[in-house]
Amino acid sequence: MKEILFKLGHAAISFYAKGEHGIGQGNPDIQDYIMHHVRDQVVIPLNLLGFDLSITKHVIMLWLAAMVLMISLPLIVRSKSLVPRGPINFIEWIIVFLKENVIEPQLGKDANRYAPYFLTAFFFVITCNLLGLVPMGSTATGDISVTLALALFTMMLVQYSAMRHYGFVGYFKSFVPGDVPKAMIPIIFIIEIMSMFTKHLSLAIRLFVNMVAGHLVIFAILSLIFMFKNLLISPFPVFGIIFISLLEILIAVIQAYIFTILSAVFVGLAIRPNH
Amino acid sequence: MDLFNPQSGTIFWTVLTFVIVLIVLRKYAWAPILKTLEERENKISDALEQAESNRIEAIKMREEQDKLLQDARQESTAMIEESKINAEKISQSILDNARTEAEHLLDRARKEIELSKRTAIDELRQYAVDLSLAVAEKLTEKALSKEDHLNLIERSLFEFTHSK
Repeated sequence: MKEILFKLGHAAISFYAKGEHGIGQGNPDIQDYIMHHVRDQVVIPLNLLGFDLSITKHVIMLWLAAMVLMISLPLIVRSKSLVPRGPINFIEWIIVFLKENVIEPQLGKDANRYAPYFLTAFFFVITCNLLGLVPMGSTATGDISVTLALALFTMMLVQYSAMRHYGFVGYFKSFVPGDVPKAMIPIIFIIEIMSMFTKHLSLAIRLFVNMVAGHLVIFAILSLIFMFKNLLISPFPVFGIIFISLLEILIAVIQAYIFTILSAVFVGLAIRPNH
Repeated sequence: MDLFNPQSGTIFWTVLTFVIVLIVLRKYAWAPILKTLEERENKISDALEQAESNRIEAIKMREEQDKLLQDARQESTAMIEESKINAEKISQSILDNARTEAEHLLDRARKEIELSKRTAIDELRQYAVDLSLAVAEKLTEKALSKEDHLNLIERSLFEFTHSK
């Protein structure tokens, strides 16, 4: 509720502010406004050795998520008692769920070796997703750069686990199934390499689009008020936004789960015999 | 639209942040919690096993106890039965003894009575003779002749013996 009120107020102020400045009135403004909110913004420009390393709003949200995780989890986990009490129950429930339903079915006996990556990925993504729903926050996972970097980790883990499993030469051989005619091998090899990249690209795009879409829909519904310039229309956007916000909480959890389970599936496929 | 253009800076910061988070959480969160979970799992399965074996042992012990109890019950029943028979025997023999003893005593008493009766009769007879003699003496001194004496004695003796 607070979030919606905040966004409503913010939207109204900036909308009328723009109107006063005479930058233009009507729909193009609204589109700009929506894009402005979803897009990343540079907070501290930083250029190092020719690379643009600016600290943006999304980077700050990433750090915030990292701080939340690195402070809260070790504190919660600190109790050494065998009988769990308090918030550790919740964390353990999530971990056991991921371990038994995601990591172990896909990775089998290697589950314990790779579990830290999947647990970290899940908690990192879900924290970024949920922090994006907090007023004044922005969704770091609604940034293609962030999701690409995360997918890059999964891709590297897939390559690492496959090399570990098949050996360096076996790793390249594993791209081609055994019973393929010799003439087809180069084509299959290229297709497999491409599929490897698209797989992980889809991982990045899926998370990014899902997180952006909710915000786009919220702002689009919100804009109805300003398009119609009529207060009578406002109950529909308000309830619509409440509904979409609840949906976004659900999506935040689901997408973190999907990112984790797909990463596990990719690693599992890479190390499973008969690839 | 730069919404879909990856920014190298953001990618760099994401990689750096994620690596740090991964390293920190791996050491301070996942390792301890996974260890705790495993320990707890082991402990619970141990405890369950222990409970199961305890249960089996308890059942065995109960069966043993039941058996012992049943044996004891049987034994005691047998003992009671035996003692009942013994008691009957003893009481029978006591009764028999008492009966023979009583009969014996009765017999003796009867004999003694008979004996004393006979003695008493004899004594009485003697006494009667003496008394009659004394009475006769007194009487004969005054009125009776010798014949009268004898008659009298005869008669009284006759009467005495017949009246007996």
